[in-house]
Formats: sequence, structure tokens, C-alpha cells
Amino acid sequence: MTQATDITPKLAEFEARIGRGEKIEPGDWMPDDYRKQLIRMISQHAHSEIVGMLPEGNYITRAPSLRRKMVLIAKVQDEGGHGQYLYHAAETLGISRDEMEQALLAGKAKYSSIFNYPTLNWADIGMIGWLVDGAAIKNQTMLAHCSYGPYSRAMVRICAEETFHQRQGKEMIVKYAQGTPNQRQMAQDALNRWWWPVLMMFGPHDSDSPNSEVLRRWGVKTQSNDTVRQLFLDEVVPELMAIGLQIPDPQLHFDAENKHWKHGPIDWAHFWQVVKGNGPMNKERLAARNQAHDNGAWVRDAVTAYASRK
Amino acid sequence: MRYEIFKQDAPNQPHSNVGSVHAPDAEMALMHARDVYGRRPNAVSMWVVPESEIYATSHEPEAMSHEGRTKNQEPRTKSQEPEAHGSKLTAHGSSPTSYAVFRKTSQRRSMTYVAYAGTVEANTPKDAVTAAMHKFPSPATFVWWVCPEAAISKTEAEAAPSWFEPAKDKVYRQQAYYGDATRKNRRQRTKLVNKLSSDETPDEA
Repeated sequence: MTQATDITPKLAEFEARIGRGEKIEPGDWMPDDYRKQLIRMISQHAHSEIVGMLPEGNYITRAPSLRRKMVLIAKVQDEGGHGQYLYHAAETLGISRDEMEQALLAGKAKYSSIFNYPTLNWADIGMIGWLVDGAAIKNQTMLAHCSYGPYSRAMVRICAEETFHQRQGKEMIVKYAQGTPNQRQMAQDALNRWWWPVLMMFGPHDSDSPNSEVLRRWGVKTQSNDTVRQLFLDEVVPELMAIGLQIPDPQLHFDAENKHWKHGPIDWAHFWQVVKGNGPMNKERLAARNQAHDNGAWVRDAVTAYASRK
Repeated sequence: MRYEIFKQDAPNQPHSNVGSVHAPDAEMALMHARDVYGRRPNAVSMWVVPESEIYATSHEPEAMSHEGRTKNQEPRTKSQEPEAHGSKLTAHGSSPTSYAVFRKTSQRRSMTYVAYAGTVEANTPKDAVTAAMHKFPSPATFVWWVCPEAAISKTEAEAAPSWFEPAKDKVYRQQAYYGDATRKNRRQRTKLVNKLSSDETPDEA
């Protein structure tokens, strides 16, 4: 899809700037493909933050203690804020907020497939914090180095805040794993259901990732999908094992020679089914997002009316 | 309407552009700005400015690299003609207006796009940029933003504590709050990896 265009002086200077480690900012010259790819990535990322509030927001009224409830409210509010940072970054590239919002509500926009799985019990909230936010941090740490200033800045803020999300989840799962047999079982069950979808969050293998080459040359993605997945695996596998949880992958093993954990084959056919809209929760998420938007209509009307009368 | 947000992290630092929010008026914009950009305890003041009141210059990268500093090229406006909006805040005729000046001074990664430099008196936004270039000659500036000072809505100094202090009490929002459990876990991880690297393959996987 993205072809190297003729190397014009502007394009050469653009690539030289990226080569020197300069950031591209709104108003700077950029190739159309750079703008398009960034709008695609940033808007999908923004939608993911917004839809990502749904699986956890459900549990705010069911938190087992006041402390856990305050933590979860803060986390869900952060995700909403992250969506706002990212919609802003996309707007600086010339797409309107309204256009993005309508695309999401109409079901035309993509967002991370991880949010199309159900949260069945409280242990899922811990597992999402630890693994889903943990995986997101790995990806976002890479994107914090990207060449587009507004996206990079959003990622730096988001990574700092997501670290709290990841740690509160890990704290919860570590406690469950050291708790009663029933609590251990809940943690194990959550791991069994979330493990593979989490590994899929890093996207297709490098050999099947068509956009990667130009995105790397232009400093948008600075590490490949498989590289970031490996970083995540090497971090969490020993931690999960240390608390006695069983990772649901019989082929998982430690490659002592190059000191990396190696996972078994990922079910990409399943992944693409979820991406295409056939995951367990795709329809529910879209319906919930639309319902929330519709329920907020009177608030938008009221503040607009108030502003117009001043 | 879209409002650009400028956040001040400490009393001796300039207000810096951190992003934008959509709101029907400046009052709501300030509230959204606090919720979006002030959830962590690092704000003492915020300003909001309607996007349509900001006049921005931008410079082609080759012009900068060839000459090593900015030069006054055709400015790009965020809203092409601020005057055309019929804004009462934009200067007309001979009475000069006070413009707030913001500038971008780095090509490297920075946590802000443009930061506040000060004010200039001018009749039009374009003149304000020229005046800013004379008044703030260094460091080298890559982007100028100017807006009528009267277009800025600010958090009030006496209200600031009630706006920004509560974030300090929400310690559970800080990653350090969870530090101990995580450090212990990390030690265990290092121990396990060292063990696995030194001896045989793992018995449990």
C-alpha cells in the first residue's frame, strides 16, 4: 500500500530530519503517507482507550473494597484522559474529532481486539491491569520514541500513568495467587483466558506486517511487533511462574542459549476473526459505546445552551 | 469549539501547550483541561485559548537547516484569517492590542510544543509575530503562536489550590505507591532468570 515516492528535496530533508532525531511537528512538511499512517494509528489508539473503559467500568460498582474502588475509578478515568490526549494528537494532522467519533460509533473504526473479550469476574480486573496494560506499556514505550511530536508526547504521559495501572493489577494478582485455593483458582482461570489474546496485542508476526518497513524508516515504529512481544514475554513469564501460576502454553520454553522465552504458535485465524468483528464482545462494546453517547446527549445540549446564553 | 491548553507546572515555569479540549465555552474548557491534563499533581495554573484566536507561523524545515535560524516566511494561521471571524478580540484600526507570545525553541523531543514567552503590542497578529521576533531574538525559534491576551481564560490564583491540590492526596494514582510488591517481584524474576540461564532447561513451563 505505501510505496516509496520519488525522492523530492522535501522528502529527502524530511527523512534527514528524522535521521538527526528531530521531531516532526504540526505545520512541518510531511509526506501524505506519513500523515495518513499516523492518523490511522493514532485514531485507532484513541478509540482503544475509549472502548477500553468498558470492560473495567462495569466493575466499579462491584469492587470488593473502597480502596479497590478508588483505584479502579482512577484507572478508568485515566483511560478516558488517554483517549483525549490521542484524539488531540490526531487532530493536529487534520482529521476532525467529530469524524473520528462518528467512525467509532458507526462501527467503521478499528480498536484493539483485546477489548472484545468479556470480563467474567474480579480477577479479570487484576489480570487486565497486569498483562493488558503491561503489554500496552511495552508498545507505548516504543511509540514514545516515534518521530511525530504530538504522538510522542502523548505516549510519554500515557506510559507514566499506565505504570500505575499495571502495578495495581500485578499487586492484585500476586495477592490472589498467594491467597485461598479459590482465589488461586480465580487468578489461574483469568490467566488461562487472557494469555493468548494478550500475546496477540502486539500484532501479526513481522513476516506478515505489511506497513512495517516504511513506518520504521520514518521513525513511527522504532521496533518490530515480534521484538516488542519478546520484551513482554521475557518480563512476565518468570514473574507469573514465580507466583506459581501455570501459563497455558505447553510449548512455552526458555531458550538458554539466547536467554529468551519462546512461545508456541499463536492462533492468527482467531485473531483475524476478532479483528473483523466476530469476537465474543464486538457487538456489545459498540452497543455500549453508542448507548453512552446517546445518554450523554442531554448534557451536551445543556452545556451548549448555557454557553449560548452567556 | 476547540481550545488549546497551556499548563504551568511550577510558579517559575512558563505556561506550556500540552494539548487541546473541546468545549462550548472557556469555563467548561478549563474544567475539561483540569480533568484531562491535571489528574497528576504537577499543575499550578492553566490557561485556555480558543483555537480560532491563535495565529501561528510555521517554517519549512529546509529553510531552517539552510539558514540555521528562523526567517519570516509566509505564516500559516491555525485559522486562516483570525480577522475574518469577526472576533472583537482582534485588533482593528490604530489602537494596538496586547498579544501573548508562545514559541517552540527545540527540534528535539520535548514535553511541550510551544511555551509562553511574554507579550507584545501590535495592530494585527502578523505584526505581533514580527514584534515577537524582535523582542525575543533568542534562543532560535521554530514556531510562533500569538493570540490577543484578552482571549486567554485563566484559572484564578486564589482558586488554584482547590483545583490542583486534591490530585496530591490521590497517592494510589502514583506508581511509587505500589513499589514494594513490585520490587520484590522483580528480584524474584532476576533470580529465576539467572538460575535458568546457568543450569538446565526449566522443569516447569
